[in-house]
Amino acid sequence: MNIDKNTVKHICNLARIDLDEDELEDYAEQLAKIVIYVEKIDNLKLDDVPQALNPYEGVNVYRDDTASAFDNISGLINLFPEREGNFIKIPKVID
Amino acid sequence: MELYKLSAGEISGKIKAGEITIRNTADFFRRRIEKFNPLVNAVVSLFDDPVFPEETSGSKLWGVPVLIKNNICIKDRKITCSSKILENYVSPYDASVISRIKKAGMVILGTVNMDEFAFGSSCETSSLGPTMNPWNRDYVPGGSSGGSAASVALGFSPLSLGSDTGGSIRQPASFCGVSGLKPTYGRVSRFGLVAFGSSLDQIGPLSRDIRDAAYMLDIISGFDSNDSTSSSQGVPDFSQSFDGKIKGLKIGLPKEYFVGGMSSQVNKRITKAINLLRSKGAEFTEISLPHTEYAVPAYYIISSSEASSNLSRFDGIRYGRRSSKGGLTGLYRGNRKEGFGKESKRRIMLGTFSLSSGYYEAYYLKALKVRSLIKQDFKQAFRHYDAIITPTSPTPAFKLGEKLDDPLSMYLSDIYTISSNLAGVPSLSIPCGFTEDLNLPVGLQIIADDFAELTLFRLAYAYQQSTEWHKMFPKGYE
Repeated sequence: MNIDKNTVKHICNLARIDLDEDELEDYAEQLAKIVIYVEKIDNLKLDDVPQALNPYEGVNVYRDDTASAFDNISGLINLFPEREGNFIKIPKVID
Repeated sequence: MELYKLSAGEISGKIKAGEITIRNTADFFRRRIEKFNPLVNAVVSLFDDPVFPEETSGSKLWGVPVLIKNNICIKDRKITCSSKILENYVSPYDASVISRIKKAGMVILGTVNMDEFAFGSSCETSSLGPTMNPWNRDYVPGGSSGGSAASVALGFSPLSLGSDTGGSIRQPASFCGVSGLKPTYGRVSRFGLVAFGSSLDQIGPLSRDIRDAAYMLDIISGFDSNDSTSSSQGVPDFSQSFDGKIKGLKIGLPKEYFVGGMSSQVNKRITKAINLLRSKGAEFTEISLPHTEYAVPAYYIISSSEASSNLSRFDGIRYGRRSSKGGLTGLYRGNRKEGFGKESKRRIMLGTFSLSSGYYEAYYLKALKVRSLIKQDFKQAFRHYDAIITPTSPTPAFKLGEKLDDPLSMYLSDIYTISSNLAGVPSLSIPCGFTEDLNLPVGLQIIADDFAELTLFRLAYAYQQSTEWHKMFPKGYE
């Protein structure tokens, strides 16, 4: 896969990151090299190999869906970058 | 008394015996940090008001000062992952490991530097400036837990906590001449560790004396209902491994690790360490881990994919830096442009690409299959062998700036440590001497089967019984 400036622009849009024009060029060049390197895995025959999402073959762990109190609500609210009372303020979503 | 030269176990013993007080001990290490940290930039936040335990506990580390990597949440303390995007983040809660070490009566002195969000192998991508290698300040301390390793090397605290996603505890431990352990995936709760690669991350201890790392593992291990990947596997008494008995242990030396690319200086030290363990009765055989060369490519696809997903939470809505750009999308884009450093953006982009429509199967799903093969390699090896020994890193520490503009070359410095994270197996690095040309530390990596940390400790302890490398201190910090 050949990574160029347009690919990087597309990825940036998906990842919600703005880049300057000169950054686009740098990243295109670096990512192209990295992608060529990781394509080394194409040398392997993988059709019948299972995927390992994590190191375990264990089972999913669930816990009861019960509410429990969090003891530091003001600690969370104080982190809001902008607020009105106990509400987070954000730009308008729907016009 | 030179307190900083004592092990954590010795310090706790003196406190319990009434020879020194907890407060005086903490003050001693705080003064040491104040004096020498400006030279190395390892500690990013030294707490003015450390919390002292109210009650005594039976813990082997009661009263011992500890430093924490800047990505493990401590309630009411600034935890920034050395990133601008979290520069004002004050954690509203304790990570599970922090609750446990507080309960054990350890004293948290502060937080230490790291590569931004743990993306790096040199501690240079930190938004708070790089940390320097204590043995030679023109060199990197390794990463991402560079601050954790440099701090222990300098005697800022006898123990620190780091996190390891692809070698981030072991490689800096190797570069700074200290011991560092990545436990088995699931051994230690990740609750409160800011996630990088959720299927790879583990929190672990760094120390000089391997026994201190074992005492620490004892405290932080065990099932935690707040982390669905934490294991309910029982936690043994790790101190039973300190018997020096390694006669008859079968150890594999993977031929794929002992090839070109390894520095001859590193090779010399590793060979000497192997000979020492052999003289104590361990039996060495050359083995093969045939898929080794595919570990780095698979790792960078998987870890970056998980990172891009994990870092999507940093949008400036509920916490963190908020840009003044207009509209909701503008706000997201502006926050992330201004808040993330170069390497974070690079990893997010690589991960977003690997997971994107049209490329997901060719990259991410394939990498997961490679991960199966790597896991199988280890399973196969551990059917016949108790442990595997390799160098921790192909080279000693490299110069500051040397690899910063060449990401691929930086990624390859983790070539010997990454497989353990993909397979989930426990691994540690212990100091095994210095290079002859530049006098930089070299680390020996020991890998064992899932939940077989006892074997790692047994070998490491036997080695440290006969060597003094873990007791060496860099000069100029007396």
